[in-house]
Amino acid sequence: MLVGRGLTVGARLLGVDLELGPGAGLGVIGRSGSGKSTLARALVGLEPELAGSLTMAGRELVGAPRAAWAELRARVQLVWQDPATALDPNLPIRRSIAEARLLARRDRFTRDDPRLAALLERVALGPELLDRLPGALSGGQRQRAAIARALAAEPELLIVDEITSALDRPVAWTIVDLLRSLRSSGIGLMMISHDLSFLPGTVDRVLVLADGRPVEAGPVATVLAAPQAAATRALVDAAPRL
Amino acid sequence: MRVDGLGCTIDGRTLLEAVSFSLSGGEALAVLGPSGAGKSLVLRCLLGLAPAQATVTGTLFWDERRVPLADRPALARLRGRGLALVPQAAAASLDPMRTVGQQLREVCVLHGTDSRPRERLAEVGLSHEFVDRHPHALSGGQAQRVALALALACRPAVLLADEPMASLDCVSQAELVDLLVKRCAAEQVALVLVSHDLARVARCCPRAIVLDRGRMVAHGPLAELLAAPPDPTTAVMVAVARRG
Repeated sequence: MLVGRGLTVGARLLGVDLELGPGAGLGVIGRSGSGKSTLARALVGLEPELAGSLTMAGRELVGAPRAAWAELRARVQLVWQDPATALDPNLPIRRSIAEARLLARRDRFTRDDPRLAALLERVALGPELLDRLPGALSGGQRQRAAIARALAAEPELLIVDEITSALDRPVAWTIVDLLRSLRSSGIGLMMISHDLSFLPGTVDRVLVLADGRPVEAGPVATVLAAPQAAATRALVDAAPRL
Repeated sequence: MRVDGLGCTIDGRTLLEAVSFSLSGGEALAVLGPSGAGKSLVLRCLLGLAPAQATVTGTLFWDERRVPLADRPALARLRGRGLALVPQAAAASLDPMRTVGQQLREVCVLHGTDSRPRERLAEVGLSHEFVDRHPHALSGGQAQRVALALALACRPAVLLADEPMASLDCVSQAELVDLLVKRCAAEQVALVLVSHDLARVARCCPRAIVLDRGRMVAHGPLAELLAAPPDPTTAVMVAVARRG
């Protein structure tokens, strides 16, 4: 269980509370600059100014030595917005996956490891793509490779930061469907998205940020159907509809 | 403006084939299609900015003139007062070393238009204080508005917008699309809006063409394409847009 209380990063994130247990599904929404990505980075130890309290299985991480954060990063994996820059352009996908396992202190996959085959099947990535560089993959394939890299660390919680925003909508929906299947397999998910249509069915609860502050939280269907905060209403009103 | 039979090949690979459309002053046309369909390449070909190794064919009919789309110098002369571009990555398209005001003045000098940066910024909903800002001090939405101000400062006849809202949050997307349509209507500028998001452009573009793998697979009033998609690519786009 990852528990944050009063999470604050300078003036960019101000007093966020959250709980992410096994199998949790939390959506985080807000306008650009509202603090969504800062929150994601803070939860994996990439914001040195983080204040407040963040505990993993009861152990405090704010102010803890680097070793404590290293253990957390194996259990909580972040998938970035732009897979073109998130994956090392000089590493074939196979080596990116191997690197993720090394950093998470997991044993190495052998070349024909059935666990590797199962991982690829899980993210619907063809094995023929393993030895390609990220630049030789389409946007959707790159994002699947980035998710495979994150899953290779065998995390309990996946944080995905606008991972569909660089994709066209049919491809984006295939990624959302993948996230739903991962959640149903027991992985916790924190999904940052400014596209509200992806959230129902993917996460259970939603947290709305505005100017770094939490302004609304609740079940996703309730928040989107009857938004209370002005920031939430603006997001709901701006969603495109046919 | 009328584009007739636009084609583009690189190293024997056909990237665009027989793309044709027309539009008149103040009209808005959506160019739709999945990633890799060739939407952005259409704009680059019209601007004479296709990759150097590309072979471009077809004709641009501009007022009474007939401009071969292979004639890059002739197309370069149309850039600015004829055709102006709002790029997808606005922040990357701005000069990081110069202020917004300096860049607006430069565009106006280059294209011989009225140089009043504060008014140009006001037209896109930015206050006068942005004149002295550098691009790094702009949000994504603000950078996109500056890019729109730069394009409109050319006083073009046709504005080409290449997924201008792709990296913005949904509120900024809605605001930018509104702004694009309003400014183009106010100044009688024709708009070619490239997007993969059918739901986002459905209300602002009466007509559309749909590309798939370089070929034009559908064209016509957007309402008709939505009601009865004539091909599988459009049908998928409509189904996805209806899903949300």
